[in-house]
Amino acid sequence: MIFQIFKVRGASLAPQLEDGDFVAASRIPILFRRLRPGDLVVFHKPPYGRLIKRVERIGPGGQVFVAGSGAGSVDSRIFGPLAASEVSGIVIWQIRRPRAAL
Amino acid sequence: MLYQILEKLDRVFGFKHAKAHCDIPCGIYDPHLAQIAALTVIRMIDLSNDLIKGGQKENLEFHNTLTRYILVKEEHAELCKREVRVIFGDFIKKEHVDKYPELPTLMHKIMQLGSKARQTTSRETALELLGAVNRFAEIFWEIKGIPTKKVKAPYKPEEEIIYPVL
Repeated sequence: MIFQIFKVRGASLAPQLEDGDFVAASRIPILFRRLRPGDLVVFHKPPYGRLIKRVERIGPGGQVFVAGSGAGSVDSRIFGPLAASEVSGIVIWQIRRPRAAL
Repeated sequence: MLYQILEKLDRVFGFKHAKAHCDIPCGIYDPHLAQIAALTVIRMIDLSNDLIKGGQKENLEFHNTLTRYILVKEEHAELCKREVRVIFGDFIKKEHVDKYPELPTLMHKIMQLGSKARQTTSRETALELLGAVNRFAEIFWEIKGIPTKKVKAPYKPEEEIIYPVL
């Protein structure tokens, strides 16, 4: 599939992405380039399910450390780094819910 | 515009979810509990005053009832503090504080008024607590982009609270 649309649930990436926003995620960019810090990635992580987080840093051997914006986020601080192959897509497009200007 | 189209498509087809969850998948924040707690504090002070001004003798029954009012006042003042603390700690981000510089002071004020509401039986303090929590609720909904209205609670003590217009 070229890209897939997901609805974001939860606020761990606020204010960039809020609960209810949509994103389009695609595998295609990963075929051409390495993941880099700042990329928003979608991946599957048992037992949490499909998660969306921000790449914080790339560790030795290409380990992908992901994090949310807030201190309470469930991310690599809890489940450790991901293998690059676990990442199912990079966010290529964000469709945010209209909201009051911050 | 595009969002509305996707929202409609989502209702029909249901896009898959990607979770950006915190501690536990949640994302549920609502200042309403804090407002209800502040209203309860006021109500307990009113009920206590009614009891004392009433004709009932200071027997065991009297003390039992008064103790129950005070206990509920204690619990709800603390609950009010707790609910506001959770929203302030988990939901409010630096960007929000930059936009609403009064937030830290307001938060501190609620903590202090919450404690004072436990220590005293002052209705003025309880009203001040409700006022501060209402302002907190107003900012919260504004951050979420949801308009609010100020209405009298449809139950005693019938004080004004901020409701989201959903």
